[in-house]
Amino acid sequence: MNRAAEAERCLLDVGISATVESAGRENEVAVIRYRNPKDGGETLGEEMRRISVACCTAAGFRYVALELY
Amino acid sequence: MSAVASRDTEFKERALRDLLQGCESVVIGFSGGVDSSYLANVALDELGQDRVLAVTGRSPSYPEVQHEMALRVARTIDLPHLEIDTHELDDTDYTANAPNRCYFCKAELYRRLLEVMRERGFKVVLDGSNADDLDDHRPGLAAARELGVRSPLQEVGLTKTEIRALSKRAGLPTWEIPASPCLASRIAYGIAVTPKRLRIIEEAESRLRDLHPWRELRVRYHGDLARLELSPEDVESLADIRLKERVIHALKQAGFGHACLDLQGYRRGALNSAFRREAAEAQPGRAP
Repeated sequence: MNRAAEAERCLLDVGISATVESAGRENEVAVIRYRNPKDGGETLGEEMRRISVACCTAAGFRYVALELY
Repeated sequence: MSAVASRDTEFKERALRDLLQGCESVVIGFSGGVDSSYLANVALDELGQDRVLAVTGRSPSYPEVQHEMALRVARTIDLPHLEIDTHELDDTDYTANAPNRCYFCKAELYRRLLEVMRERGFKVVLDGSNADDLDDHRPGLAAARELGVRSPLQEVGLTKTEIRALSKRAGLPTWEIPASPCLASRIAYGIAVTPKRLRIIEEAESRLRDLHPWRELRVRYHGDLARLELSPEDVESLADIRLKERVIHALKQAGFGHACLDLQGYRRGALNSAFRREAAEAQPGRAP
């Protein structure tokens, strides 16, 4: 399983539906897009950030970020 | 952050004053940041205007916002001040942007400061490195040592927090400004440093600063992707959809094709921390 799929799977296991794309020269950045629009502001809450960072760094990403555009 | 100087800090400042007296006359690498502004102010106290010259090296990697602060500090304390051009972008060792990039930049700056020192009859070149810098990945310190540049704040053990406290007491406008390292530090290692990329980063940060009073702000460059690092308190401010849209507009206007918001927020030396971790993992004999 690649890093992005592994991170997505980890997020789904804790109930967060999201797509994760690898970006950067060495695919070092996990760019997350949460699927549930109701997350809205909640996606920037501390708990959501903590879980997202934990899943993506465990999958091997150096940086974990929310897609802006 | 404590902005009150402790007794231990007082001893360190006394040691700094003694050290500067021993230097007789000094050229100071002066960026207009917290450290070099404080050092220049104490040097001026101890040695007087005829024996202190603050020199600012200008290049596309030096942020304009920092340049404005350097001019402000020089005016505020009546500091003899000279600006010179530096040419690190002509050095392919620098533009290759390996983890030792800072070495080549600092070597270029220090060589030019040494020229100024010799031409104008000064005795010593100083820089504003502090005691905390010993804990970070700082290849520039090696350049300083090789070329005989001294770091008095580091020599007497003054930390950033202590320098801020002493700066506040001295009335320096720099006491609470955020750290503002060179723009090349925003570019991920391995991606070449070019004037165009530095301009894009500077424009993005400048546009973003106009939108909101961020506590910390860095636009990290990963090719066409901007990774925005904000202080953890500021990250949540982007839950405000209007602010988020304005941030997106600013980054597009600056020239980024894609952008993302780092969920861990600003971390000092974030690019270096990844480098240090990987270097540690590569150490022979380290347990798997």
